[in-house]
Amino acid sequence: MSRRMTQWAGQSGVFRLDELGRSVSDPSRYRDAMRELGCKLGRCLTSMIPAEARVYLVCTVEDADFLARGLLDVLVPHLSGGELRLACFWNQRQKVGAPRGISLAPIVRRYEEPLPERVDVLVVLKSIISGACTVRTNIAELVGRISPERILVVAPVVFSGSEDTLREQFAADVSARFEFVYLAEDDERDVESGIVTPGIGGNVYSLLGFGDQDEKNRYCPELLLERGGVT
Amino acid sequence: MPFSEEQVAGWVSPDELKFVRKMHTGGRSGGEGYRYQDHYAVFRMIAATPAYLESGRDLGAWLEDFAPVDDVVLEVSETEREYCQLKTGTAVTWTADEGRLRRQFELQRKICEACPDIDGYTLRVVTPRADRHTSLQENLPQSLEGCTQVDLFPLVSALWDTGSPAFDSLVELCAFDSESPATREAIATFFYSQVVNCGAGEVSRVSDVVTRIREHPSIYLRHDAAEPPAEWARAAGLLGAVSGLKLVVERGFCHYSCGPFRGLVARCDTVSFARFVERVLEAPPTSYAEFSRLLP
Repeated sequence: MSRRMTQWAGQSGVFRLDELGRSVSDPSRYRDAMRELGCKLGRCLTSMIPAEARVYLVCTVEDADFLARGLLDVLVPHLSGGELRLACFWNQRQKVGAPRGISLAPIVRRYEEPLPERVDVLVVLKSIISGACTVRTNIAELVGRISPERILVVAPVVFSGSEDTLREQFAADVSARFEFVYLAEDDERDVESGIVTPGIGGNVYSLLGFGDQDEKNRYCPELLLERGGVT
Repeated sequence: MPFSEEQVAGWVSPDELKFVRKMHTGGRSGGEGYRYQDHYAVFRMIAATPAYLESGRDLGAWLEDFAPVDDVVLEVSETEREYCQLKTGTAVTWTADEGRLRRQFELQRKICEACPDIDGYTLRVVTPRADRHTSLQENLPQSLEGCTQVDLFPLVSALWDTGSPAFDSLVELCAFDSESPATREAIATFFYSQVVNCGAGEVSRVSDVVTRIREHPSIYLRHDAAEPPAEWARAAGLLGAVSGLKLVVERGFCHYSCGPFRGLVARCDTVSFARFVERVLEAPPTSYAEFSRLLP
């Protein structure tokens, strides 16, 4: 088992990931640690995204109130001359068929702020990128409707090789726009569960206090209720 | 069902049998041709599904038969088949390689004529290249007229993409959100999974895929016959109190939108939808946040 820290991590990234690991038995602390990681990633993005950029951020429901909120806390004030709009997808991850199982992550519910006429940067945020199935689905969902100049794929941790896996699933004109921002790359996965170790400490649904996938898909993030203008 | 070698041996000469055996042992080629073959089989199944849902007319498909034209075989009815040979190459003609393609098709015609289980058949050569399509069509051997068609089928990276030949059928099959690539992909994947996991001698049937999709809790194939429970009308009236909430029942499913939020409630004839209706009647929501907590 080995972990490679990237140039984005720095001392604070190492500390934040360690704190995530220390929080695995306490969902409240884990949520806070995830939000802090979001802030950390947001700070990384401020050096990559001009203040006047039009940004469209897409995240998954389990990440919205924590990782995404932290990232927004930093990125929104940075975009003084630009704009940030948000989409959030409720993906239902599953494997279809055997012996050759095919991974799917259809979107069963969604929150989408109106797409601006022009998007400079699509930010695709996920707490961990392993098989890249969910991230692929969410990029494919938007990339046909907006034509961002840049696509930033952002996560605290990725599994080794997932960058190539994701690129291979898109046409060259799309994958050429990918830029990856992550703090750590791990190269070991549990054979049975497929969970990356040390990764983000285990199954993100249960660590955040959602129990399982069905339960997280019943959750409606506060962030979306606030931003969506519905009560 | 696919032919056995014993069956074919009864209909062709020993030399012809040797020719079929040689082709059969070649198996499936890798790379582009392999994907093209899968995509074509999946496309034909998807294209046949709206008709299956309307009339119950099933379609079976398999890859690699013991036959000279065998890339994709379609069982249109119990006694009617289509034998399809897929050619992605740039130089394919009826006469190349000592007339190999012509020989394959002539022998396939002979087998189809001899097989007592086949009343009707069509032979197809399928290519993604417009120039090959024209050439094969214009130079169709006289011996194959009346039973052979030349089809153009593009090389596509994903059958659910806009512009794919399967696009319109997939849109037709989606219960809701048909404009979403993820929704179309989910349905297409069930067909793809059926084809690639189909063992030798087995047949993939549209009816089986439809059953599997409908058993699945989060893949939504249109289901016109699903009616909401009687209490739904009262629940729908109560839900009118939620500002901005719109509910639609169509194709057997109930879905909603409210400002930037949208999604599926459930299929109308399911227990989860009945329970949702009960929850609405017990505690009518007055806000979107309350409504979202009642969703299945």
